[in-house]
Amino acid sequence: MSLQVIKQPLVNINGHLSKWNSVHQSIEFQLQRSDFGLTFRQKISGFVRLKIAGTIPSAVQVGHTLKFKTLNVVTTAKITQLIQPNIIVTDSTIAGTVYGGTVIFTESYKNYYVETEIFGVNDSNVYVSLGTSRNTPTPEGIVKINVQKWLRTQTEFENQFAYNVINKMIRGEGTRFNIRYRENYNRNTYEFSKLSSLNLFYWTNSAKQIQEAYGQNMGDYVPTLDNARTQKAKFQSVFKKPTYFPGYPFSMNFIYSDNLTSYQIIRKEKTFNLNGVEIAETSTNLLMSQRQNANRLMLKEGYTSNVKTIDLWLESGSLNPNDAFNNNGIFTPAVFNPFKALESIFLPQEFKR
Amino acid sequence: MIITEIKKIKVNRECVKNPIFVSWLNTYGGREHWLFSGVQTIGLTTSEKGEFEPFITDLQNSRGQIKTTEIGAVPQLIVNAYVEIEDVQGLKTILYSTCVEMLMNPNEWGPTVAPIWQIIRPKTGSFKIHNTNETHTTIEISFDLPYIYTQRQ
Repeated sequence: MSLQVIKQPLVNINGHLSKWNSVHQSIEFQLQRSDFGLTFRQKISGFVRLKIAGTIPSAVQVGHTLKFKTLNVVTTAKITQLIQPNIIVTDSTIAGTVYGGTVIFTESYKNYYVETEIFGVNDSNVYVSLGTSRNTPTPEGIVKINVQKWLRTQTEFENQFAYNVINKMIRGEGTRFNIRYRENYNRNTYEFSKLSSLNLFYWTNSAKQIQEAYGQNMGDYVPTLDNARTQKAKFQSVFKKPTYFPGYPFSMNFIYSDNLTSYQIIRKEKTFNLNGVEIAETSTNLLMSQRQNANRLMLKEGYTSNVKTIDLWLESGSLNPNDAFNNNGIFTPAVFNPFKALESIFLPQEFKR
Repeated sequence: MIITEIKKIKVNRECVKNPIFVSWLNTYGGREHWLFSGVQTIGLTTSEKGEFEPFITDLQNSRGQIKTTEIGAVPQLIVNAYVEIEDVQGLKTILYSTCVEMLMNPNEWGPTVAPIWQIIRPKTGSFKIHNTNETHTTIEISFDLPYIYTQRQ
């Protein structure tokens, strides 16, 4: 029937999602294999009737073992009879009739595995394949796919910033990725699923520590448009108060997250003298073209000699009326539309046999 | 709407001698920056990478028994900083950074001239960072600079 994504590498932060993950730790998706849907299963005098939603494939034979899942209970049984579209199995533990459920043909579909293709994004905002992962399911039909190893090849450790613009994405410090997947069994390879914004995720060149909030997810550092959020997104600095040495390079890393969609983001600075008296406050718009990536943020600089400390933060501004980026994750071509570019390469078909 | 923390940034305008400016990757995926100054120590570690002993047939004209095939030479730089304890928490992360770089054109870089960096490698080992009752401390970090190419025979 299909593969269904049942777990993605994301966390919920006060009602908003963080899809940003540390690339030096596991970034795992989980898929549920279900070969056919069950219309119902019914106990009939010592046998169990499984009526499947479709036609029983020819590979399924009497004597084969299968698994079926109803009411979240997985049962293993042997096929004793096939009467389209019914499969008769023996099982003494089943009682009554239950509607719904799924079937996995564990024995009939030989050498079953799921092939997952991992995509990164190049400088032209087009997906590029990073490689494929092959995974076999657990006895319960769950396929665990850790994509971290492919994404890690995209990291850049050396300083690539020229320190000449207010904010700049550095792809090697963090950016987008996507996956698509397909089934393989009985020496047949089936179609890949369609690339979807639902599987669009992000990585950063970071390593979280044990017992840190949100595990390997970078939720603490992901800005969200949420006035009620008490712990605002952090800059990616280990210093409680970083030091700016005038005349030398300085930048702060932040995640220009997908949550900020089409809002103008503003760098705010407030400068203070030695006595903590405010000198000036400034607002400068960030370059929106750099969003959905790990970013460097520069200070305004050129401060007068009496400036001793600076308060730095980001604010959201107005919605950009010219921006077609909407809340459903449909991207304007001007910003990021890898799907459009892929249309010429991959047929935009829904995943089906 | 405020979407990030409000980060306090200190401005350090002290005139410094022997400035060494470094940038390093932290575990959060960000890059840090620091200007070391004052007395820096320059060192050099050499090591013999191989030797051989030719069979001597002409003892009278022989120039020696053992010849070196290759020698290793790694320049070192030891930097010091007298800093507040809150800065130590950030500075100590240099010691386990996988990419530390030193600015090589501090007087030339700018809006039209990109900074030039050279990778330097913090020496590994066990370190005493600071005492918990201190408000300031001196932190010392040793780096291996790119090694010197030598001839190999």
